[in-house]
Amino acid sequence: MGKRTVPLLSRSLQLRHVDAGSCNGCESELAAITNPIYDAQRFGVDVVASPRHADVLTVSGPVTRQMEEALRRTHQAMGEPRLVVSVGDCAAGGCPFAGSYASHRGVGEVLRVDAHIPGCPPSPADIVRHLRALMGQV
Amino acid sequence: MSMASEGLTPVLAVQEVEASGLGAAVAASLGRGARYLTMAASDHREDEGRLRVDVVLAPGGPGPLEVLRLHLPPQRAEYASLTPILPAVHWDEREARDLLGVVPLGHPDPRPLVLPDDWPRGLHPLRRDVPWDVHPASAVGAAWSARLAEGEGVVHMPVGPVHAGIIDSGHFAFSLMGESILHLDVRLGWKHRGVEKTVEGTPWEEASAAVERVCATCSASQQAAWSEAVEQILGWPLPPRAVWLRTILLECERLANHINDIAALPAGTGYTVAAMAGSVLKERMLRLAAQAFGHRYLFGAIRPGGVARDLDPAAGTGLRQGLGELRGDLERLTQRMLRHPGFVDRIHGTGVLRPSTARDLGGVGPVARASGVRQDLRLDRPYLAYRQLAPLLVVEEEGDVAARLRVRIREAAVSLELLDRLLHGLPPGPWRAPAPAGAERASGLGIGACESPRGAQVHYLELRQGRIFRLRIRSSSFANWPLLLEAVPGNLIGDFPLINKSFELCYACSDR
Repeated sequence: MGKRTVPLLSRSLQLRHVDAGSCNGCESELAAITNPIYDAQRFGVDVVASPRHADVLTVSGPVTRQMEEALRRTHQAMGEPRLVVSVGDCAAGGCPFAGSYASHRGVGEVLRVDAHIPGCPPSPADIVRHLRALMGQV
Repeated sequence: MSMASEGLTPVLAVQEVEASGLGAAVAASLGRGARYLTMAASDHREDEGRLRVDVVLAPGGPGPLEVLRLHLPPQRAEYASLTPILPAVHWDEREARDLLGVVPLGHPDPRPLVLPDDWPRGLHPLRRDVPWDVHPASAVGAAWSARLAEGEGVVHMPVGPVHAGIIDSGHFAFSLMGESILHLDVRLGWKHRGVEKTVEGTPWEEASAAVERVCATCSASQQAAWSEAVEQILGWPLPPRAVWLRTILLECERLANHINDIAALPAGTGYTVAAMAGSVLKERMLRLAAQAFGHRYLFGAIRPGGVARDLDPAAGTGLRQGLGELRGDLERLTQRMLRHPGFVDRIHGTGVLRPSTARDLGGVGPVARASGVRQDLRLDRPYLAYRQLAPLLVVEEEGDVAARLRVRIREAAVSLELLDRLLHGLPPGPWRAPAPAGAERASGLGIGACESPRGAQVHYLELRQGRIFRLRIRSSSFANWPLLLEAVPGNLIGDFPLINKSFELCYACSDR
């Protein structure tokens, strides 16, 4: 009997978010992906309250000095397999404050990043599109 | 506030005071009905051999802003803390101690406010001889520790900096007796990015992109306060159309925030239908903003001398029409919310901020107005188009979650009304004025302030030879965080998210 295989995480992606020094624009747009207009749940994407339940860690901001450890610990708390997605230009090093005394130059300096969602901030539609691409849906 | 176009009246009145006389000078000013706006410490050792502390107050009536200036020798940079006579400065003083090593003697809270836990003691990053990109090794010493209530049966519950929902990072330390909150302490600074140090030395023409990214949800207010400070220094009057467009941008921002904050409350009570309906209205507002001004959060909309681009007639008509449609839907939603018995039961009498506390701690914006504080910069020191079109002052007295909700509902209606009149009466002409001669080498002090969706947003700016020497941003949330800590004790832990949402404070602009 041929068993149909489904790519990993292609139908359900549980997401946990860490704000590592954003301007809160990325949070505002991320929160919108589950509103009735974007309704990311219909694609199997949902936001969960604990890293222990999460498949993907989304991170915004350049990673401030004070948030570095909390970010690492949140990542460590996730089970395998786990993915890291940087959200917004700051998280990829494009933050106007990147490299200051209080800040890293992006998530890549702290964690291995599997995918990036560009934008300042990325719109909810962009975020949903990139997450679906990560799941192999599009 | 007062633009240079006002003519002969000076915008600022600087008065130098002795360290021993600062408290008396502040008290006298407050006694005359002045209101505290901001405080900024700065490092003038290179040219003057001393540090500086400026305390800025707005007089009770018209007239220039009062700047009380204190000079401090670097070897003994200390003064008697102002917190005992003006509690509103207690976080400002902690911040200045962290960043510039200016010590408020007798301050009731010796803990750091914004610096990281592992930051070495005695290294003050906003001193000018500390490099912008210094990355000192981890040190022990400056770490923050929670203030907790102690006693038999008292349980301590730390929450954050990473939260269960998609919100900014911050840490709360609850002391609980059963489900009742005895005491709440907060540790902010997780998002401290070194904004103010980063822009030092930047020519003012190039700083807008950084300034507008201090906070997305109040970006237009940041841009407006920043631009006003620059214009004040340069003596740069705005053309009428720019004045109008800037006001439209500020009111659009207020509306987007108020809709967001109105929709966030039912989410805190499990009333999902209303929260979802509200989130749709917010999305519609963000789309209207993007269609009219090119960005959902109005990044890149305002620039010194005017606005960054014009509103074309078709976009103006579209905005006016879209807002008209939004008005009815928002009204229906809020009426439905206020008729929902379960929701109403949760918000009444919850998270009460007493009027005296709101006043004494210097609360601002809708939070203060919901506790009976009759204060709104749009009316108290009219600026931009508010000089001609005064908005209605919205005040409630109860100070609970319900009162904060009602203030936002009523203010949203006032904003919609105001926007309709602004869009209808938009004057023709240029939307940006050319910079005055010598603008690229200008020096001086400017203070820009506006009433953001959450209250007074104040930018203290010193330019030297056209470059930023010192920018200090005092956001409305920075002013209101200490008030939250007063409104929470005595409530149930399960009501904390609801109370927190009713304050809707921003971490990004508080931490900077």
